[in-house]
Amino acid sequence: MDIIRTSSLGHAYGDTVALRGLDLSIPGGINGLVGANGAGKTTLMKILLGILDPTAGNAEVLGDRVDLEKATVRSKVGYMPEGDCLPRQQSAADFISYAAELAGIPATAARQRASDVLTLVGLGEERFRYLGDYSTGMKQRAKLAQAIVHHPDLVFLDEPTAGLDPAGRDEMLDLIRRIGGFGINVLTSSHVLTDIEQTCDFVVMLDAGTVLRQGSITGIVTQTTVDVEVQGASDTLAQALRNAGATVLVDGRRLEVAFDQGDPFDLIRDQLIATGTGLRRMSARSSSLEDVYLGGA
Amino acid sequence: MSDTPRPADPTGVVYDRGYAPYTGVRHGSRAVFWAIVKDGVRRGFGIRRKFRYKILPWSLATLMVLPAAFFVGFAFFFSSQIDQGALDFFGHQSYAVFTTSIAVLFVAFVTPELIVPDREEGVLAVYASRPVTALGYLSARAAGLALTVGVFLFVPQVLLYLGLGAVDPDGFAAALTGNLDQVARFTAASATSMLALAGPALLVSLFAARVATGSGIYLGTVFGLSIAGSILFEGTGQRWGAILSPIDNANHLIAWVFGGRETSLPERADIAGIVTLLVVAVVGVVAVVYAHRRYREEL
Repeated sequence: MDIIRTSSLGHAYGDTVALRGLDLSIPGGINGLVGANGAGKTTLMKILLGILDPTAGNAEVLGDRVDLEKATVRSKVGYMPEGDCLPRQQSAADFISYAAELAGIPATAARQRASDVLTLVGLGEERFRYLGDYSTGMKQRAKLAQAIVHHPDLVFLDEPTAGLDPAGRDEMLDLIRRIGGFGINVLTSSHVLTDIEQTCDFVVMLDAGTVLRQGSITGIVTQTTVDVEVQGASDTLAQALRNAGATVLVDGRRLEVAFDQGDPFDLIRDQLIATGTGLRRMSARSSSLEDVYLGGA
Repeated sequence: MSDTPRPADPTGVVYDRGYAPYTGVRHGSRAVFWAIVKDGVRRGFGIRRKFRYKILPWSLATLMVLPAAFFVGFAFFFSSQIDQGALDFFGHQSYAVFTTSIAVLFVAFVTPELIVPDREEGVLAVYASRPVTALGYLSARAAGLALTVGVFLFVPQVLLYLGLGAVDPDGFAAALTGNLDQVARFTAASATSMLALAGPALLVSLFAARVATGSGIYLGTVFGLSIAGSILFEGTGQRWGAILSPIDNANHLIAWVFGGRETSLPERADIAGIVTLLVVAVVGVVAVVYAHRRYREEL
């Protein structure tokens, strides 16, 4: 079952169009929302949360129309915003407990949940410190804790790795993968494509408010090409490969070969022999999400 | 060589509890409303906040109670030496009017503290991911504000009531049961006074970017309106100027509830208590309507 569906979804801030004609079908699991700054990621998340009303089309979250069943949708989701959302003068334990109470969890159980979830995100020892005294990495973890403390069916994470150092980023990505393992569906946005590639099963690429591409990560990034470096001239080999149905980009003695009708390595081997071309080097090259995004944008 | 006793086989086991999904009860919107109200009261009094957030509310609360203790002590030691008319000075109406200035300071601190940080620190985004509407949030915050200020005004009156009962020559029980009408009056006076002072504070807090700014603007507005009201009414004879000042309106409503008289501007302008109450209510409604328009875009 799709956790998010949109139909011709659009939103405009006055004359500025932020989203136009979005048709999305996002399955359960860990999903990524990719796009440059201003691509419409945050606007889409706010519409899915019911904070913004769409100016065109409609959206469904977990089977409920957001514009018609806002309270129902909100009772099943969590949200980690990109910006600050933590009161500086409260301790993490108090605030996360309060965040659980806001989802209807009784005070005593909320206190226990806050303790458990803060331990989960690595703040168990620091939970009685005031949030204003936290470092950026700790604040990101606390923001994640408030988003999942009530065990939502779906959690929206808006740029969860923003402002983190490499170690902190890896830890946050690991936490996101763990959350997915707990049965909580995730929609995480980022403009850092490698984060999405490392974490998600499915990705939606946005560009200037439109869907550039959507699909499973494996389907998008496993279009393998082969880098070939030859001795001497490469023109004869390149032509032979093209004649055999491959797509070839030539850069001096280097060739980038894509072949979707069979094994590209077998084809290259055969054409090397046929043309008598000497081989210096040959290696597989998987396209990254970045290649796909930059190629499509 | 002595035998070293072997430790017993370990019997304790360390379990990794991992993550357990929450499967317990989830309450509805009423529980969420009260959670926000409770948070408002705690925030108002600085409970579970850093020490510096406790200083002002508890200092003002102490100041609020001290006159009651003084009144009761004075009545206890000097009741036989002064006439009953002088003792009436220590009544609930006098006390309410006497402490209005302290209440203004408390409201100036508490109202922005309840309203501004959620906006300034982005906490509204958390409410936006919970089943909380703009109206629900504002109602709960308004209720939290009313409860905090109401308690601040009401508790000293209760202490005064008990204290005056204790020094009453007819005995404690007789004084308590014989003056029950006073309880109803100082409860109503606390409520109307709270409305007169907190309504404008709520309105100001909606514009303020920081708590300190909100407090400063509120105090400036309240004292500025007091001066403007005096000038308009007494200087130019404009009667409507008499209902501009929240402090005078609060004092007028206190006197109206107790059926007494004092020297507030509306009293001098011969404005009926119900008119002052309507003005105060309109300010409160305007604040809530404007707040709803503003918060609808964020929740």
